Amino acid sequence: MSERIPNSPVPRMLRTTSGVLFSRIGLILATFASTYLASVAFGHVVFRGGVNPATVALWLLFCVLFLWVAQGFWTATIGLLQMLRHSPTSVFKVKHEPLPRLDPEAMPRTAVLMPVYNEDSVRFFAGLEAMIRSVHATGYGTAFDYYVLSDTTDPTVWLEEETQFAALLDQLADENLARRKGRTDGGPFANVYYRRRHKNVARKSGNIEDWCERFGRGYTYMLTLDADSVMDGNTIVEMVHRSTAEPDIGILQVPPQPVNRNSLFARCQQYAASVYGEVFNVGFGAWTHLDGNYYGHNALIRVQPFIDHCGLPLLPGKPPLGGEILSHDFVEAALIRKAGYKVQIAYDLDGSYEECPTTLVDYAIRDQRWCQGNLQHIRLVFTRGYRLMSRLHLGMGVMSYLASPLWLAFMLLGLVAVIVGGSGAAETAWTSGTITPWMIGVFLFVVVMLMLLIPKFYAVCLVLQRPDVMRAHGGELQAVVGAIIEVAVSVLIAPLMMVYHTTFVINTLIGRSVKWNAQQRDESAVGWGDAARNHWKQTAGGVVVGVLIAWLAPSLFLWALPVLLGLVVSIPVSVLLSSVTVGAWLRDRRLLMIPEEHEKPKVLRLHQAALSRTQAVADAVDDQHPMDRVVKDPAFCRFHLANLAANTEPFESPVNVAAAVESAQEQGLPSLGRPEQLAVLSNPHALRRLHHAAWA
Amino acid sequence: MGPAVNPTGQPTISSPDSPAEPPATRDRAAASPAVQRVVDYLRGWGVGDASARTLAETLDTRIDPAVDDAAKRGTAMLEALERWTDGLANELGLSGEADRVAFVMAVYGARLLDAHPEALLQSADLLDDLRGHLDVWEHGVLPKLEPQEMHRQPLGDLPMVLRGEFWSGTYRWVMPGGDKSIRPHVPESVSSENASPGSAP
Repeated sequence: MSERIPNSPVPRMLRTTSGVLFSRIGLILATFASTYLASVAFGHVVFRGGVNPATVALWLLFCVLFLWVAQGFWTATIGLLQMLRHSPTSVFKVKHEPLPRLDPEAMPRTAVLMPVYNEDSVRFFAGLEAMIRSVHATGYGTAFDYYVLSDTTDPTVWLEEETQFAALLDQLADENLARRKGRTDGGPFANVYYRRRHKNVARKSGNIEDWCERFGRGYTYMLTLDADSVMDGNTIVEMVHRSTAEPDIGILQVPPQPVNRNSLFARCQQYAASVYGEVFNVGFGAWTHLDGNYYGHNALIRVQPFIDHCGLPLLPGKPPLGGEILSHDFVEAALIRKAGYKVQIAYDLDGSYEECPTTLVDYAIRDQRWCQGNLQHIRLVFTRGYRLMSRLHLGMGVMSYLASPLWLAFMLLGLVAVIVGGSGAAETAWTSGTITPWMIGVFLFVVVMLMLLIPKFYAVCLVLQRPDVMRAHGGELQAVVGAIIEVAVSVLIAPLMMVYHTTFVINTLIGRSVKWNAQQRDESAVGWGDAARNHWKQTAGGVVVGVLIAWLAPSLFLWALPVLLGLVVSIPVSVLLSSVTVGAWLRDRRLLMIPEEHEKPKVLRLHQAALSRTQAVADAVDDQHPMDRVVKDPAFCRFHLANLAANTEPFESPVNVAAAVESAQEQGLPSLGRPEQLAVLSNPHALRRLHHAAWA
Repeated sequence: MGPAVNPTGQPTISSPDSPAEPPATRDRAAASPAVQRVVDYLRGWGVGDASARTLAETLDTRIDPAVDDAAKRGTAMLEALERWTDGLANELGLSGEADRVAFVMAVYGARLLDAHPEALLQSADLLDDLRGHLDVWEHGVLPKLEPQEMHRQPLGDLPMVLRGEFWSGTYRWVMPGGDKSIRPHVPESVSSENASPGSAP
C-alpha cells in the first residue's frame, strides 16, 4: 500500500494513511476516556444508596449508551479536524490530483445494475434514463451496460415495467439510429437489458447474485443501485477511474444524498444529510479509511472478487435471526475485506443521490426491515475470520437499533430506582451547597445532549464559513433556522422512533419475521385517520406513563417531559411531517434548503425531464388496464413474449393454466387472481392464445 | 389445389411457391371483415394504414379460400403472420438466435413492415434492414455469457465460549455426578457445515 501512494491518482485526502492510525487511536482513546469519566461520574449518582442489581444494570446501560453517543461525537470531531487540516484555505475542498483519463475504448466494462421490486415504474425508469444520458455525455457511454433487474411479483407492475422499458428502448432506438446515420458514434447509444426473475430468491442479494452468475463474466465492475438511486455520469466515470487506478479496491462507496422530496419530514432528512452528513462522512471515512463499509447501493464493485468471495453464508437457525441474510451490504463488505480487497468510502465525491421516505410511518416501515437485517449480524460480529473493523461496522449496525431498547430500559430502570429509593435527594439538590448526585445527573444530561448537538453545531458553522455553501443552503439566517427546525423535529420524533425500534427489536428477538414489502416512494400525505390508527398506542402510552410518573415520582416528571411530549403529540406530528404543503412553504422561504434545490445538478435536471417523458408514457396507456393491453395490443404482446423467451428460469406454479385462459377469455385477464395472472403472463402459449382470441 | 392444412388440422398459409387462388373465387363477404381485422391488428401494432392494408391483403391471398368464416379466417391470417415473423430467424440464418430476432422484431417490427409492405412476398429488403437493427442490438433481450457459480462462503466459527455446546459441556462437567470425562470442548468445524465446496477460504 505505502509504496503505491506517491503515484496514486486517488485524491490526497482519501489516500492519506499517516492520519489513519492517528484517527483510529484518537477515536478509541477519546471515546473510552470520555466514557470512563462519564461512567465514574454516573457511578456517584447511582451507587449513592448502595450497590444492587438494579443500580449495576443502570450503570452498565449508561456506559454502553454513553460509549455509543461518544463514538458519534468523536467521529464528527475527527471529521471536523480532517476537513480543517487538509484544506487550510478552503476548508471543505478535497485536493484532487487529476487522474489520468482512460480512452473510452480502454475503459473497463461496467454494468449498471438497478434492482427493482414492485416499485413505481415512472420514477424508476426516469432515474435510469437520466443516468444513461448523463454517462453518455461523458464520452464513456460505450463502456457501460444497464440492467434492470426486476424481482417484481405484482403482475400489473411487471407489465408497467415492460411498458416503460419498451418506451425507453424506443426512445433510445431513435437516437441510436440517428447517431449511426450521422456517424458520430460507432456503437449503440446504450445497451439496456431487462431481466425479471419469476422467484425472488434471497431478495436483493439474490437478485444481484443471479446477475453475477449469469452475466458477471462480461464485466470488470458493477455499479449497484437502488430503485430510487440516481448518479451523475461524471461521478460514475470517476469511480471507475479510481478503482482502475487502485486494483485492490473491492468496493468504492459514494455516500448518497437524499433529494427530490417535498414533505416536511423528507426535507428535514435531506437537510440533515446535506449539512451534517459531510462532517460525519469525512470523520467516518477518515478512521475507517480502506476498511470502509458498503451501503448496498451507489457503490462500484469489482465483479470477479465479489463473485469469488461474497456469496452470503447461511445463518444457522430459523428466521428472523437465522436463515438467509437480509441486510447483505455490511456482510458483503466484511467478506470482500476478509479476502484482502479494500472497501473505501469516497466521501469527496458528490453526484450520488437517492430518495428518502416521506412520512414517519414509511420511515418506520423501512427501519423495520433494516432492524431485522441488522440484528442478524449479531452472530457475525463474534464469528472468527472477519477483520476487526468489519466487526465494528457490523456491531455499529446492530447497535443503531439496539440503542433504542437500551435507552428505554435505562429510563425505566432509572424511574424504578427513584420510585423504590425515594426522591429526597433530588428534591433537596440545591439546598446542600455542595456537589450532589442530582447535580452530577444534570451535568451528565447536559453533556450527553451536547455530544448529540455539538456535531450539528460544527456542521452548521462549516456551512456558514463557506459563502457558496451557505447560499446553497438558503442563506445565513435560513441555514441556522433550518438547523433549528431539524433539531426540533428530531427531538419530537426521537421518543417515537425509540418506541418503534424497541418494538422492532422485540419482535425480531421473539421470532416474528418481517414481510419485506416494496418501499412506498410517492409523496402521499398521512391523513388524520391514518395517523391516529398508526400512533394511538404511542399517544395513549405517553399519557398513561406521564400520569404514572406524575403520581409516583413527580420529581422526574420534568425530566421525562421531552420523551412524553414526543409520544403524546405523535398523531399531529405525523400529519404535520407528512405535509408537502408545509414542506413547500418552507422551501419557498429557502428553509431546509439543500444545494440540489438551490441549483439542480445536471443529472437531476435530466431526471426531471425523463420523469416528464415516463409520465407521458404512463398517461398514454392509462385508459387501458395493462392486463388488457398485453392481451390486445399487438406491439406490447410481442414485446412481452420476446422478453419472456429470454427468461431461462423455469416458471413453476400450481395454477391450471388452461382453466385460467378460459376464465380470462370469459371475464378478462384483469379479473383473475394474481397467481392466475402470473401463470398466464409467464406462459407464452397461453398468452398467444388469449391474444389471438382477442382479435378473432 | 387443395387447402394447405397444418399438422393440427388448422388451415394454414400456402407455401410462397404455391400459387394462391385468386381472391375473386373466394367468398368476399367472409374475407373482407377478416382482412379488415388484420388491418386493424397491424395498425394496432404500429404499421401505417396503406402498408397494413397491403400486408393484410397479401396474407388473405395465402389463406385457404375454403375458410369462409370471418373469425377463423382472421385468426388463420394472424397465425400466418406470426409464423412468418417466427421464420425470419431461419431466413437470416440465425435460427439459434430466434430470441434476438423476435426481440428486434418486437421493437422494430412495425417500422419495418411499414417500410416494406411487400415483405410477405419479397422479404429481401426487409431482411437487409432487419440485419442492420440486429447489428445494433447484438445481444437481444439479454446477452449470452458463460455462467459461473457464486458459492456461499463459510459462516465461520464462533469463539468457544459463545457456543451452546461449550456451556452444556461445562454444565455437565461441573455438576455433581456429571460425566467428568467430558471436557467442554467443541470441534472447530461445528458451525461451518453450510460451507459449500469450492468456496474461498
